[in-house]
Amino acid sequence: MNELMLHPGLILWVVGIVAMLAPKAIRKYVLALGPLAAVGAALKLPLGAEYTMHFVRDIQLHLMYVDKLAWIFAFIFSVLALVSGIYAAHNPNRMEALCSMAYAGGAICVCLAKDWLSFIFFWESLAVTSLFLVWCNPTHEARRAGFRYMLVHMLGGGILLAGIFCIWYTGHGDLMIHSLTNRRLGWALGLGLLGRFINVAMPPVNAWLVDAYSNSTLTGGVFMSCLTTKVAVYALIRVYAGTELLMWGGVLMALYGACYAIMENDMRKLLAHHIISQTGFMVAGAGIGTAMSMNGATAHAFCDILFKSLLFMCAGAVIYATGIKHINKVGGMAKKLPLVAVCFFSAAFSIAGIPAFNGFISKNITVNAAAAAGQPMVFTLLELAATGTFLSIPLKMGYFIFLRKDDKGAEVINPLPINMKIAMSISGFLCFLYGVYPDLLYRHLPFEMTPYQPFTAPHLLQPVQMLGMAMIPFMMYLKNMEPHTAISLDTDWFYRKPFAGFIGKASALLCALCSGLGGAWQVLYEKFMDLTSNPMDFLDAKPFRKRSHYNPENYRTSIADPMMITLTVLVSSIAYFIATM
Amino acid sequence: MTKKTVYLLVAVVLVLAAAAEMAGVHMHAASWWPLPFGYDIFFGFVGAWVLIIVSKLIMAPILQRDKDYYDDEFDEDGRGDD
Repeated sequence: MNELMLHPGLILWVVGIVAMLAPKAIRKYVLALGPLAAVGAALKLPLGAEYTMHFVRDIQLHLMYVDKLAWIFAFIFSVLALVSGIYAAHNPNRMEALCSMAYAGGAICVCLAKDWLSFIFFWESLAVTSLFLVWCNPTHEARRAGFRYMLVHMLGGGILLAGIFCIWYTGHGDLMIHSLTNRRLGWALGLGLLGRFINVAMPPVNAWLVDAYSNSTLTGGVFMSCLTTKVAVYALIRVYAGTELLMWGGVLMALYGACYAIMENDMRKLLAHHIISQTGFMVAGAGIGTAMSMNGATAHAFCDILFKSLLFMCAGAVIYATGIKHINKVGGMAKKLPLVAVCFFSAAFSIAGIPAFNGFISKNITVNAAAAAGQPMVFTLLELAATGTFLSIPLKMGYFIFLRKDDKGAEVINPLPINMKIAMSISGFLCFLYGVYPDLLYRHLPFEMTPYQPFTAPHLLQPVQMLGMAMIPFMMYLKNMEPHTAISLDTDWFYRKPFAGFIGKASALLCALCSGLGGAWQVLYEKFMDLTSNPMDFLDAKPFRKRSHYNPENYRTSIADPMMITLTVLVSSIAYFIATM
Repeated sequence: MTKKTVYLLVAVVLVLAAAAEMAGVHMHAASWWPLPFGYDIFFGFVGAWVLIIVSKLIMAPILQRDKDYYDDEFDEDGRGDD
């Protein structure tokens, strides 16, 4: 029982419930400080700690098992809950407080689960709680995006569950989570992978991410930016490491997200495209399957959670302060929101992999692992994607939002609450801290490998040369780089346009059929009622002649008849009685 | 900061980085062809140029639509076609 009390995921569920029930004045303190208990519990979690409970028949639920891989994800999810909870503390929405904490708690529960039943239960809890984070934004676009998000995740969850049934069937009832790499599991492997492809947002099943995350609330988006995809990365490392399809899928994600981000104008959509791109590095690392690449994927997930949440916080802060979400409508924010600018560039340099920031110590492990594993094409394409990241975040967002001349008239109309500033400062500091003291992270990496040295001359020179030179095309095409307000069609086009049109036409056809059948049934019903409503009329044996409305008065006999019969019987009886006397 | 200043700064940084490479820093462990001097400088320029061309000049004209492209899903009160 003691082990279960240390479960950071369950602690966050409790924090969420307390925050929901607490009055507004207390809720902000619960949100900001409650996750501290989860961080403390995660730090105290001993490796090897386990908690099992009986479920039904002979099935045991292994709710918690701590190894190095599970621990590092549980710890960083707890840290995310803490900084995001501080960032969201001013938000009075009870539902959002509950869902955001339960969402982070569910992510930790997935990582600590040791059997597939616990895994799928908490996996689905992520989908439900994150769905309500979208719906907490009271706009029609968010409502629609939420439904699309729900449909995609119902599909993903259903496929994953089918995969788990296959694993259970082929494993003769074994429901424990093991690595499935190189096992001949056929459908189980395929369905499980497809379910995770949806959660990790691999093209062509990627569009839900940008659609839903950009429509969530400003505070909810910070949680969403880091949890679902990273949990899927955890599952890929745990179960499917070394699958070659993942390696190429990861490369595709990295480039796909980078290209879309260069086109995008909406700040949070741009960042959402970069969730796909950065997750691609992690998926590729899992796919390469060496200890170095899997450590790189783990380290990059850890650092990505810090800098991506900070980028969402900074974008949210600009939107909160100005009410503007489009890049081409703001400018000069470095002077108006200097703290946001500092924090933004801390996160932007991190995601670009610039030395002294945390992306530098994590992204390069995966990229160099590709080279070390004899995959030079993967290495080159990931380097290209890294260049794309540099183009669209530090350069494009940094220049157009913060550094360019303020000629757009965007003003700060809502001063930022202090809790938002504290959260951004903590995250910005952590991005820097892990960038200069990488051993804080490296000592916890789960797989044994030759120690990686980030601060060697080649490792330092490479980003300086590559990213420095990437500034030249950016300056050359500066006018083209300024985005304009437009929608970039993604794979959701297929289900928002042709498929929706097909469903609309099919519905209209079925409605017409239903209406026609209903009309025919109505006629039959009325005829039948007509015929059976009056047995007298039915006996006329002319069922289809036109008839007037049934009126029982027309068929009622006169009172004289029974009176005559009664009098006749009475007189006859009296006469008979007299005659027999 | 003007374009000229940016170009100047980039030039200074790149000259220093190239000098370090000339001084004997071995840049890459693995590739499928021998990497020449200044490969990362070349790759940084060409890579960024290709991404900009592909994204802004090829993908954007094909894939970008007006901002209300999907708005026929909604009627005036946002309730959709139902």
